[in-house]
Amino acid sequence: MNKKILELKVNNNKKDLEKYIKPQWSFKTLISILVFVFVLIFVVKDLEINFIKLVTDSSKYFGDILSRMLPPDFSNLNELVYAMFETIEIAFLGTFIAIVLSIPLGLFSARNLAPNYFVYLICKTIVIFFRAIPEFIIAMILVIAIGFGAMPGVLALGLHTMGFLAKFYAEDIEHINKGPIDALKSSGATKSQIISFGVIPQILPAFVANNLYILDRNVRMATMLGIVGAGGIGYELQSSFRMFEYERVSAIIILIFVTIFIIDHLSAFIRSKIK
Amino acid sequence: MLEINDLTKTFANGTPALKGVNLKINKGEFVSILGRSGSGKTTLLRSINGLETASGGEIYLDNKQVNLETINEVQNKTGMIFQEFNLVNNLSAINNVLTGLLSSSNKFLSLFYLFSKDQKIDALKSLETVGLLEKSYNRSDELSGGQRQRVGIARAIIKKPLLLLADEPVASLDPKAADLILSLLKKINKEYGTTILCNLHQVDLAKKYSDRVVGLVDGKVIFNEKSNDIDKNYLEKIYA
Ligand SMILES: Nc1ncnc2c1ncn2[C@@H]1O[C@H](COP(=O)(O)OP(=O)(O)O)[C@@H](O)[C@H]1O
Ligand SMILES: [Mg+2]
Repeated sequence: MNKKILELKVNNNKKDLEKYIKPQWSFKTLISILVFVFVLIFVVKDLEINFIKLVTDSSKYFGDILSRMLPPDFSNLNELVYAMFETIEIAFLGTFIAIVLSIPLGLFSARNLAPNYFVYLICKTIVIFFRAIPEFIIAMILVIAIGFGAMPGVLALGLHTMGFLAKFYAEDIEHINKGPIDALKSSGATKSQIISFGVIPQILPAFVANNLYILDRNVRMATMLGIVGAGGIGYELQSSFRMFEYERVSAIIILIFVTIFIIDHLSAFIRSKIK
Repeated sequence: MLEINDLTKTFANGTPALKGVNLKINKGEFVSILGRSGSGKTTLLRSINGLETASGGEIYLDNKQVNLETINEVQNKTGMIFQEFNLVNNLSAINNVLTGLLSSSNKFLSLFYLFSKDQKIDALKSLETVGLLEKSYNRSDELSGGQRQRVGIARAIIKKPLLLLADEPVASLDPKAADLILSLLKKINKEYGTTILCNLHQVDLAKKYSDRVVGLVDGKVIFNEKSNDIDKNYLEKIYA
């Protein structure tokens, strides 16, 4: 051990110490802020967004559309609730498919578990591919391929969020504590036993939280999928827009909001119960 | 019972961790390996049970050479205890202990945590040995450090190994818990005749609990004597 440290001697005077002082905000930080502001100004100019005009004009337009949307028309609530329920079913089934497909993909697109680089690369490519294509586009293609209805919605959500979940899992797996894995290896466990006892228990809480988050997100997305003909409340929404029935539009928006509100609280509750 | 001849290990990044280790350990001995951090203690233990592959030299356990073909047998005859316990936190104590039996379990059923009644009885016996029968179904992250290490010991002894490899088993514990853990290892050593190879970094603990002390410096054995003959001051000098 260094003797000087142990003697606790401080013989630097004020002048000497001043040399050590650095600015609290580094040059790099200031430059970064400046660059960001510059980019922001450029983007607003480039998109020809005029905030002042936006604010003055919007009050006029908003007032107009709002008056046409009120009061909300709940006259055929039964029909709407049924469509909403269909939307939730689409989201549920889509999420289930996503979970089932993403488990093997997630395991093999984690660098520390993939059996070899080739498998890793293939899985990773599939994951990135489906994450890159929005479910809207997948749904549009599937509607053309297999026709209107719930099926294209379910598959579109399943395939797109499969990519999401697999990425989450793979990242969780790459960050697990390696100690227990060593312990399992030292007692001669096979690779699947190591996954079952060392990997899965470690990622389980994150696994459940991610799945709930994706379910929550898929319900929101499923409300929109009907717009491209993939079933559910979105279809009602779109036809109401087409017929200029804005009072029904507002009723549907309220219904969507209430549904999401309930699901949000439900999934938060479940997540809080899982450690 | 364990014979190590001219063992070398150089890691992929070029770090030489072991530079020709020679060591012989008799059946039933409690041997401590003392050495500074970075002297190669962990690497030595991990080479014995195949967690690391040696670069050169030979290891014989129970008169059989340790290599890829015999590694399963070697892992069945050895148990390992770790500084950081290395339990799976989300699992109960008993499930952690049962993982010590995975190599001899049904390869399919075990994936779903299904074990035979005899295996569960063995796990409970093992937990009773370390004084944690009452905590069998507690999650391991509900246990204190000392208790976790006792679960680690129960896991290591459940298959009745010939050799226990303990890598700084008390370095993460307070002195009281450390004494308890080492006494427990000593008891296992005496009652079951289990040979113990234990990395430590406190000279007094090594002298108190082991039959023999091996000093490791920079990947080489520079000291190998019966605990009774040890000059503590000399050891502390080479060690510190
Ligand atoms: N996985 C590894 N890769 C590269 N170098 C390593 C690795 N593990 C250990 N080392 C190096 O090998 C040497 C011995 O380490 P280790 O056996 O852990 O020593 P000890 O357990 O006595 O502290 C150290 O220099 C360490 O940095
Ligand atoms: Mg070590």
